[in-house]
Amino acid sequence: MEEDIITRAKAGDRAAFEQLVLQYQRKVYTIAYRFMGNPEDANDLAQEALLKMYRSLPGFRGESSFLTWLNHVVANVCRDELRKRQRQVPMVELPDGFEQACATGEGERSTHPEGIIMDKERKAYLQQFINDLPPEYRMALIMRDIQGLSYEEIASVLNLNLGTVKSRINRARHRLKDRLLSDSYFAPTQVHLAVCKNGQEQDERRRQA
Amino acid sequence: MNCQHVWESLSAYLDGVLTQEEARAINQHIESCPACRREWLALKATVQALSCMEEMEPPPGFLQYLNARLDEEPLSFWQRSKAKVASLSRGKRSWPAVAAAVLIVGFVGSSLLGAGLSSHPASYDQVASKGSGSEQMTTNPSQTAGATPEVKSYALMTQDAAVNNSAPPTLGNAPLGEVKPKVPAGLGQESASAGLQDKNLTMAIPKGNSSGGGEGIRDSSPAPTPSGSAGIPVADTSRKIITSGSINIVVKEIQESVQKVEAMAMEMGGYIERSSMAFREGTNQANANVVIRIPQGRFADATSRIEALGRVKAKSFSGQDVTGEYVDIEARLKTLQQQEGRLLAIMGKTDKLSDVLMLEKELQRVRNEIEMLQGRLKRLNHVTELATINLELQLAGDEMAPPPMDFWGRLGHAIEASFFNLGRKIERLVLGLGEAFSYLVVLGVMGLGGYIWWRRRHPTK
Repeated sequence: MEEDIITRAKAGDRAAFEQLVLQYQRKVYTIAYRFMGNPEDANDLAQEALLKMYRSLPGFRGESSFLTWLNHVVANVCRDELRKRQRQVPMVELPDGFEQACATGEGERSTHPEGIIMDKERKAYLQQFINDLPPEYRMALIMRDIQGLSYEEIASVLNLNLGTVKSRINRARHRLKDRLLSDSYFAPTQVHLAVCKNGQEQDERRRQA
Repeated sequence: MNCQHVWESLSAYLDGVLTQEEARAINQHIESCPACRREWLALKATVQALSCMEEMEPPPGFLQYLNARLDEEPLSFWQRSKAKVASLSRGKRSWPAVAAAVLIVGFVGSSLLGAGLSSHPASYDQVASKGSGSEQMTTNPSQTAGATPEVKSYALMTQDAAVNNSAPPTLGNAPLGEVKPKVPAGLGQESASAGLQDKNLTMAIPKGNSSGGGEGIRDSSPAPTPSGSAGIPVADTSRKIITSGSINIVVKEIQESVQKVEAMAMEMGGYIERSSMAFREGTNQANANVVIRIPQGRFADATSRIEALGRVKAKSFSGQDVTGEYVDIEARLKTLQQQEGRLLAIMGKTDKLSDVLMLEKELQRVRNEIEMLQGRLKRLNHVTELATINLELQLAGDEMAPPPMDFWGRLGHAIEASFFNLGRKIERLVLGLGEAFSYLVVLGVMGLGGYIWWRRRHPTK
């Protein structure tokens, strides 16, 4: 069982540790990617997080599930990195040509009715929108919606009070939503989705008419 | 409640962290205010989109690089031994003795254990082969029939994997008690046999196979979920399990192996989720990463075929049982559908306009929820139908040398490794001295000054 592997990894068994890594590397890398927004930084940060996991594994007492603990470790590493960068350089930079591509709605416009994000390109866009959020919002959003931490957990990782966390999550989501809605690339499907979802829009129009 | 307030609380409403009254107020407002309802729907879609973002694959070579960094990471061991010595001699304050003890313990300890803990991959492999080799010999001579010797002797983590596989809660902890936690890989034969027995007795799901052979399993594994286990009623037959496995394997021919794996995935009715290959320039090193999705029932077959491709360095299988969640959703769905039926029935009986409007609203809410739950069910079905195998392939370098199985060979390697470690430790010591050079200079100058001063005070007669 996993507990056994963890116990052995704690005792310094590299093979057991490697197993843990095998099992969780995708998760860790994905989270790092969501935070950092590019493969290079994600790679560095995921490595950093796994090293941190190695170093602080002896401190894991099994009070929470391993995944929760690991999530905290990763969140801490990413938070530190983002805060460090915030101090160094102004954060949000768009890659060249991105705005134009957005504005002119270049690229294929998929009219898939299933949902907002279907193809790879769209996924990259969503990630880009996440990158564009101010770091504090981004951290709260990722911890909540990607990592699935609770409000309380996020408050403790970010050292904020619960009210601030609530408002940051809310604002971050609204910003992302507005971005999705206003973007010519997304907007049609977005509306489409809302309509398809429960046919309420039509009811509404009928009522308004 | 005004729109601004609703806007501020939508997220909390979505996450279900509002009080019942607040939630009801929001719900009412959304139903009556089209603008806010649009906001709410879009917000919900956004959050859904976020949760649908797929997991990503680390770049090829990720693990190798991490391992290299871990090799440079003597920290945790050092910290621990230092802490131990410090706690032993607390109160005595005989610092030179403590320092000496730290040095000796660290030096001797790390060169002895170094093979297993923090040194180069070759010696780590030795420990692995030693351990599992003897496990194989003592535990299941009968099972080893079919597989290649390489795979067997390196199937380091097999037992855990087997237990992992049979994850459903009923048989979770059985072998745990038997495993001695602090024993480094290779000394746990008894526990291994316990694990295997346990596996044989209790494994209802045929995707285990683990340590080699497994022909019987292969034949009897058309579908793991329905109709599989012997006569146990309903609950057991409709288990929903997200099966995934990671295998780290060393092969002689990387492209060929990748092609084989890909062909196998297609043949089994699965697909290739991702496949990448990287060659390190100037060397003959290469690695590849392949992720395939295959039908649940072929998991055991697939893993054993993959393992036959080369030498398994590490593997881990996991089965996340989501039956509980599934059943839960189904139950909620059923309740909601009943509720929907009742609402419809009442609606048929009443003619009062206000009642009809109210009922319609309620109906809408219920249907909304039904749809969300159905979506979740669909997703669960999707992820449990296909198992995921994440495969890291590495080209066999010179480390492919056959594992030394006899005592003298092992002794030779141990001695060799010990010298290698000694070399490393000396190297580290010299480096450390180099780092301390500036301090030594300062100390030297101070010492010289002191000496001169002392000589002036006490001139030789």
